[in-house]
This record gives sequence, C-alpha cells and structure tokens, in this order.
Amino acid sequence: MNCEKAKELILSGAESGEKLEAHIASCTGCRNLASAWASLKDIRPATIAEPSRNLDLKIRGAAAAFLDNRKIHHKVFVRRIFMYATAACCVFVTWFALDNIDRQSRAHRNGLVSSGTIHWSNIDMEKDFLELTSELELGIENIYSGSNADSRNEKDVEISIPDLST
Amino acid sequence: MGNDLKRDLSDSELIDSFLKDELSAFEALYERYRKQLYAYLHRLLPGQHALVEDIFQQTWIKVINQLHGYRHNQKFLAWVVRISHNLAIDHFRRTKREGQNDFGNDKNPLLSDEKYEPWKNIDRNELSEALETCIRKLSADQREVFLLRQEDISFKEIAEIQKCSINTALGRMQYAVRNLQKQLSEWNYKRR
Repeated sequence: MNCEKAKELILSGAESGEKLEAHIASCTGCRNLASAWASLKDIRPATIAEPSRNLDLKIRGAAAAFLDNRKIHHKVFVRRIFMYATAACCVFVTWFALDNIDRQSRAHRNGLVSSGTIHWSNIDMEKDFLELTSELELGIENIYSGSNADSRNEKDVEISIPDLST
Repeated sequence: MGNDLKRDLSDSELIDSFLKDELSAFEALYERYRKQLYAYLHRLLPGQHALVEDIFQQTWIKVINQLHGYRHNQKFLAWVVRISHNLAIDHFRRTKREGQNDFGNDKNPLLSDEKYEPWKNIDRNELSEALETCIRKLSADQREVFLLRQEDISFKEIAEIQKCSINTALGRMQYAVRNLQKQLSEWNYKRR
C-alpha cells in the first residue's frame, strides 16, 4: 500500500485493515497523520453555540406557512380544474346542439331526407301510415285486376262496379 | 403521531411525512439537525454571529422549499450543508469581501514534521479552545473540509459541496490536519 491510499483510508475513517496497519507501522508520515486525526476528530468546542428561540420560531413558522400555502394552492388548483371541466362540458353541449340544429336545417332543405330526419320521433306512425297506404294501393290494384286473393287481405271487399257499356 | 415517535423515523420518512402536510415531521427533522448545523456554521464563520444567523435561517427556508427535490440516496446533513455553503458563497460574492472567509481563496499551507500529539496530556476544555483558535486560522476551504469530516460527511459529499475533485478535498484535509497539528504544537510550546 502506498502513502496516498493510506492517507485516504485514514482520513475517510475507513476500517483499518491489515495492509493499512502494516503501512502505518512502517511509515512515520502516515502514522503521524493517523494519530493527529484520531485525536482531533472528536474535539468539539467546550461551549456549543445554539440557535436562539426567536430563530427557531421563525423557521418553524416558515415551515407552517409553506404547508398553508401548499394547501391554498391545492384548493385553487382543484377549483381551476373544476372550472375548466365545466367550461369544457358547456362548450361540448353547445357544439352538439348547434351541430344538431345545423343538420336539421340542412335536412329541411333536402326534401327526401326531411321526413325521416325531422320527424324522427314519429317514425312508427310513418311506418304504419306507409303500411296502410301500401295495403290500400294493393287493394285497389286487386280490385282492378279482378282478383282478391291476397293473403294479407283477410276481409273481402265488395264494391259494385256499374256497367258503363250500357 | 407524536414527536417522541417521530424521533425513531429516518430522515427520509420525516421528509415524506412533511410533504404529506405533517408539520410535526419537519419539527422533528429540524430538532435533529439544528444544533449541528448552527455549531458547524459558527465554527466555519467564526466571529460573524449575525452572518451565521442569517445563513442558518436562509438555509432552512431553502430546505423547506426544496424538500420535494431532495434525493433520498444522499445524506440529509450533507445536502443541508451544501445549501448553506452555496448561500455563504453567494453572500461573499455579493459583498465582494476578500480575505480569510473568501471560499474561493485557497492558500497553500505550510507543512511541518511536528511530532504527533504533543498535546496529549492537556485538559480537554483547554485543548478544544486552542483547537477552535487554530481552526479559525485555517484557510476557508481547509476549515470547511475539516469541520465537515468532523461531522462525518464523506469526501465524496465534501467534493460535491466544494465543487472540486475528491483528491482535492482529500489534499485540503491533509493540509488542514497538518496545519492544526503544527499550530497546536506551537501553542503547547508557548504555554509551557
């Protein structure tokens, strides 16, 4: 072991191994350093200075103020998040409503789409109406063609057709 | 949780508790290190009571505000000392004061081959007083390294605090010990 390594071990307070012990025994400089550090490292002033009570209070007060500020910041943050969320919801609802109105007005302009789009809620009624008109049309067709054999028409329709040839 | 229970908690646990809004955790942490840091600053900046108080207060305020950034793998005292070191440097830069407390000024100390422990049989109180006087005569860097080693702060951490290499810190320490040894020998010779 060389002196450099030995001094590093001595001053860093590492546990003295066999190699270090052997070096210290053979080297006056390192022995001197080890001995001096061993006797100096634990010497503290007889009267240890202490922070005043006033200083303690100031620092503790600063810690309390820090926590209070953090709480306030947290509340403000939560409120801000809530506000942003509410604003986002309002924007979304408004956009949805405007978009719907726009679609409806476009549908109004387009005749074919209109009945299906505007009276969406009356779709069942329209279906019934369509069925009824189809049946009526079918019935009239049957009458003109002389047959009344449609399976869906269970009622016989008797219509007296005047003889126009006479 | 009472303060008595907090005494058993590690520094990291106390810091975590404080960051979870527990003021008593900080009080326990402060109680653990207040004397140590104050005494260290007093010895580092001897005879400058007002400055010591100012740096001590600023250090703790910075500690409070920066605790969320504290890395738990480092020693808490070393971290606090680094903050106070930087504050002291800022102070000296601001006031542009040069001399014995200028942290950037590293004087080359004289080496001596004094016999080791010439003060062995001296009263401990008397010796501690003499040592304090001798420590004041060291250059700022050497004084700082010596005091930090007395607080059991590793050379790696000292190198980080002083922003120098580990070898430089080690060299400063060697010079500090030898200077103190020489000064104490002189002091012992004079008192006889």
